[in-house]
Amino acid sequence: MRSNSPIRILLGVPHAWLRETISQTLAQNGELLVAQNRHDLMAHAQTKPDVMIAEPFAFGEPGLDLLRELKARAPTVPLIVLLPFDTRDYREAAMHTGANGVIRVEDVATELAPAVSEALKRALLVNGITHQLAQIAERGAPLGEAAYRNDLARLSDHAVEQLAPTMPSFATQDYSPRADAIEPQTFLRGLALTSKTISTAAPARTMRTACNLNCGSHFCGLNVTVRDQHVVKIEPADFPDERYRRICLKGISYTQMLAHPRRVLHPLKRVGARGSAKWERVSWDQAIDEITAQMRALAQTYGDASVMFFPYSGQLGTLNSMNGVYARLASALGASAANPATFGMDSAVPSGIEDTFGSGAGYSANDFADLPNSKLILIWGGDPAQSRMNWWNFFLDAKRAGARLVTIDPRFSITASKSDAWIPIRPGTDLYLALALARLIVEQNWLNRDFVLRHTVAPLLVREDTGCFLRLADLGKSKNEAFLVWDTQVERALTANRSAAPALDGRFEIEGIACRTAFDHLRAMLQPYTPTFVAEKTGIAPEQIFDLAREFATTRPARIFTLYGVDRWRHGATFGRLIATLAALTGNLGITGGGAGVDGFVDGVLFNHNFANPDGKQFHPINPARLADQITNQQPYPLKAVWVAFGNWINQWPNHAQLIETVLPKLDLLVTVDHFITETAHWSDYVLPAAMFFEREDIIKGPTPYIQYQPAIVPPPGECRSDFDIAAMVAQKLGCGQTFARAPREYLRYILAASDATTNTLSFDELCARGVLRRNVSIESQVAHRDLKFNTPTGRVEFYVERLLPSRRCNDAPLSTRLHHRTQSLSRPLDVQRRALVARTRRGTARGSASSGRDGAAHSRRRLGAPV
Amino acid sequence: MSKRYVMLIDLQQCTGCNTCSVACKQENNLPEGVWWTRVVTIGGNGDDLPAGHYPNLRLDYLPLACQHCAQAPCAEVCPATATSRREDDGVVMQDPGLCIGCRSCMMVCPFTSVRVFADEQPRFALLFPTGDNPSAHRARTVEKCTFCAHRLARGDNPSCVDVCPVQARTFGDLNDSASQVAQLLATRLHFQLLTEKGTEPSVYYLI
Amino acid sequence: MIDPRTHTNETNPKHRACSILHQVARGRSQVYRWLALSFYAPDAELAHALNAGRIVEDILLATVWLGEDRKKFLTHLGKLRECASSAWSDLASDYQRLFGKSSERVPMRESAYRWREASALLDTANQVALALRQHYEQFGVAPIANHEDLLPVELEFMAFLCECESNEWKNNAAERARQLRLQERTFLDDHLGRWFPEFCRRVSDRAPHPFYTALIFLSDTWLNLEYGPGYVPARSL
Repeated sequence: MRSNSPIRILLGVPHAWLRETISQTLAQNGELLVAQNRHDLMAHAQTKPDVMIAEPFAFGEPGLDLLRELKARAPTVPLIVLLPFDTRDYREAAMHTGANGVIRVEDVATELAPAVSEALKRALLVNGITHQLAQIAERGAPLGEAAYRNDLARLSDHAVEQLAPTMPSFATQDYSPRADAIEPQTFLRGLALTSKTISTAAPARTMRTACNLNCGSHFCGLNVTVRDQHVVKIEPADFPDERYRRICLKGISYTQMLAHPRRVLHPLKRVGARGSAKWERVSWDQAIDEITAQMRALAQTYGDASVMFFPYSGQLGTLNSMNGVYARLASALGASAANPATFGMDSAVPSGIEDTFGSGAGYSANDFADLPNSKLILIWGGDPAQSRMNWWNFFLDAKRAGARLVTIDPRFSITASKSDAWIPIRPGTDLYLALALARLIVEQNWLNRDFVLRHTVAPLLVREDTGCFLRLADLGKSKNEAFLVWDTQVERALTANRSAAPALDGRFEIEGIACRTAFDHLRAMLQPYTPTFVAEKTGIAPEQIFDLAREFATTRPARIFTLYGVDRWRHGATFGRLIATLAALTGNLGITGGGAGVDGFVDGVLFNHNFANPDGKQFHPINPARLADQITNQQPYPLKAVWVAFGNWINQWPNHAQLIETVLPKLDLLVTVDHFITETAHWSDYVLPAAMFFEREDIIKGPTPYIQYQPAIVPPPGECRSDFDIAAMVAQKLGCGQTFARAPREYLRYILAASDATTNTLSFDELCARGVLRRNVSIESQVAHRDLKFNTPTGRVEFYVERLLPSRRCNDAPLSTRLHHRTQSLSRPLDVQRRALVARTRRGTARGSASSGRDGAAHSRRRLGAPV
Repeated sequence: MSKRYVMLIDLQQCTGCNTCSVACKQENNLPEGVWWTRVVTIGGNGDDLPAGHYPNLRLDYLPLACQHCAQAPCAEVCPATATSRREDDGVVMQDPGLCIGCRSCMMVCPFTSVRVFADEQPRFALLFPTGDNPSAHRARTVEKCTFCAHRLARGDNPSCVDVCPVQARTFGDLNDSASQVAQLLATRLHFQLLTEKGTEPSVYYLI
Repeated sequence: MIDPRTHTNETNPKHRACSILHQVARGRSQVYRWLALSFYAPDAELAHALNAGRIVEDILLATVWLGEDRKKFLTHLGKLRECASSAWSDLASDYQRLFGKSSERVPMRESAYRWREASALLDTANQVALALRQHYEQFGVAPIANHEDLLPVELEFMAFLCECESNEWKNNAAERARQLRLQERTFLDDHLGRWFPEFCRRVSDRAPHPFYTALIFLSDTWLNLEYGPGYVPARSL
């Protein structure tokens, strides 16, 4: 936009002493245009400098008039006004007259330089906007001289083209008479609406519900206006805490999704080959009869477990979730189902975090609402401004509260554009950077020694021979499995909890067993990752790596926020281990404003064990990541039928081609419950039409301190049915109808009452009436690991993991050394047409194209049609 | 005292998510292809593309709609009084019922493409009207943002202000010195579009 | 010619608006003028303008402000330009065949199309003509006797109104200019818009000379653009 010509600063300051001070302050910022009188001032302003600094009341004439004239000469140039006195009146008068900033004369030495650099940044933006507006005008309706020349040229082309014998037809548009002359009953697509249509329609009613798409679990409250059984408006609903009153275009687009012309309205049965898109409409009875008959036959041949229910995370309700109705159904039938504990997708980084912080901690991080307490937020491997739209405001709050946002991303994402610093990194080299940071923290002694000794495995002794931690039992004196450290006061090995001054590093020989501390292992492992070496790998300058490490280690509290960017790379788990280690080394754990992890939640969805496992029956859990292998190899047991709900298996999981060519033929039955013909539905034997979340009841836990109720607002269109009803029909046919004997509402009431202490005191009826209730949680309780108890074998943060020793036949290493992550998992693309469908699905509904709200499309970026 | 409604858009907050555009579309039941408010990328040549050379990049967004100018040239020239500036609150209205489609207003508006001239019979994605704005959409008439006048009448903010996930938009009466907009303008750096055209827009951009 | 939007030095937004619309109205007047001329019996002036390419050139220049919409009649302008070298006698004889005294003639008068509305059949011509004459006279112009409802005369009257409007904008008399704009609209509503589409349809059925084909397509597109809501172009009649 702007060339590299020097910055020009207009300095309208009659006082010589002040001028001198400023000149010295700003000498390095650019060329100074000095004006001592009015005439010079206006003349310079006319030349459009980059920024103007003026002391208007020192020119011996009405200062505000002078300002006004100055601003008129150069309206887009930022103007900083120096005031000899600072009263509110003068300040406001100056701002209203066009000043962009006001600084007191006595503060010039300290405040002017930052103000000028800030103003220059803004000037660049204004220039950009001016440029863009000019471009829009150029592209827009009126044409300029150049376009006229183009038209002349086009005329000549016409002269050749138009010799064709057929006459050009008259206007092809079908101009109808004025819309208000048309009878309401002939009102169809393509006709204008008149005021009459709206005013005579049924009176509108408004109801509160909550969005339950998996977009990072904001669960915006929605105020839904219904007229004539149609949802005609979706607006944000109030929360007791204003910060949670949010909505985004994905939620709003549901007006269109609900009534989408491509929505599946009837049960469909495949009549051609799989994937041939030949469907026959069948009745619910026929569909359920045939599906259950096949399930029964398969169960007889291959066992009950050969039928699998695969509900996924497209909906995060209570009945409609991984732990919801299909889990209950699978348990009752003794069938298999996706294991909600091993999520399978988005789980590499969390699994690494879990190795370090202990099982169950993978998705646990300080709450989003805690972000404003941080002083530094490293956003690493994610673009929350786009993919966590409704949490992004908490990042902005943090920024306003003085936190620095530093984004590490190969791409100049929108998050990067809003951050204080962007560190572009070569794709796939994040692990090197993390290792370099850890190395610098250790080498420069920036680590939080006390925290490291008390809460990490650092001082624990590791046997040189086996690589295991040294235990009291190893010394042959007892059977106590307590871990040993070297105590520097008593100069001998003590159990970790008895030692007051454990050694952080060093080599020791305890009763003939050679040992090193785990920290020593870490230090040795980090040794190669010098800033220079890592700079080569990552493309980040060594000094920048050093500065980043220092900033991270010396700013407290600091938080590492990641999403699923690095997760998608091979050995993404190592990244989870490394960021967890970084947080532990600097002691940013268990405190507000600190932590390291994906997203920002401490607790998950509302889940009741007894609901998913009726009468103590438990489905056979399957890790969805291993599903394809199990179907292909039939190990440990065969899977012959898959029932997909709340997800888009074939689209969302890696390696489409393998799924379709190798995995699908091994399946005797594939059933999809969805709203649209998604990729998975396309390859299915039966597609069952499901109700959307405006059409059935549920409760939603979230956003964090709240719980919300989803009423059935409109009836499902066509023959769509709620997932509860569908599961109940299947249960009925397969002889366990009593599993779904009560109304969904009764199960919800039961689940709420049986939930944990933060929620079980709430009244279900009050929840239904009010739509939203606050759970008994405080922001303090939303700090992960606040008790600093880690659910690891050692009870400490484990950057050295025994379980991963080679001797345990584990395909990893006790330290985070697996860096062969240069390839992403390889998927062979499908043919272009299918990909186009996928692309459309991902672009959301804003253009009116089909999109399934039940798959992960919520993660993807939304885009509108190009501007005119 | 009469009001002077203004809208403030904080460009430091805006992430270009287009929730405002979609909410506007829903609220005013806009036909396909018609947008009363849009988000323009201030950057490279294309949506969401930054300006500059890697790694010295910058990317900003500019939500753009009718600027509701105090010196509205469109109100001056409309032969059918379809476009008029309301004296009591400064909203520049556009009544598609009166519009004769002459497009004089589009000619004289300095802000290209904040108005839409629907060439063909409007088409809608849905079979029923959405939102609350009762005004009809007709072929060959001019439409534009009305600051959601029908919502203002019942004391609500315009839809785009209400839905913004990052609360980049603020709406209020500039003549009321206690209002949030007056406070923000007094304390934040701001600018207006094409001030050299002298139309005195009512939309301020905070930077 | 230049785009009036980007080439005005006015800084006062209202004057700037007037200055833009002054140029727009002048352009519209120009287009009506050429259309009117083309619908009169071919004469030396038309032949000269056509052969020199002035008609096409002028219409193009006068409609720069139409922007994208101008593309709608670019095709027809292209065809018109091809007729530049048409034999002069062909044009004249085709005019006679289409609009002159022949069995195939298509009436070029408004009254011939609006007889259904008249109270008595015989009076139609007189009623329409009288109304038009009175209308013209309000604006200080008078038609040649018996030519009141002739197509080129009506077009010429539109050119005249636009010219007046243009002058008012020039003098920053926005109120009067807006009145004139409404008058133009009313005239299209009450007269040209009512019969011109059918006239076009009938002419195109007669397999006219390429010049007249292009001309009626061009005029129909133009009137469609001018008329705004409610215009029913020839094909759907």
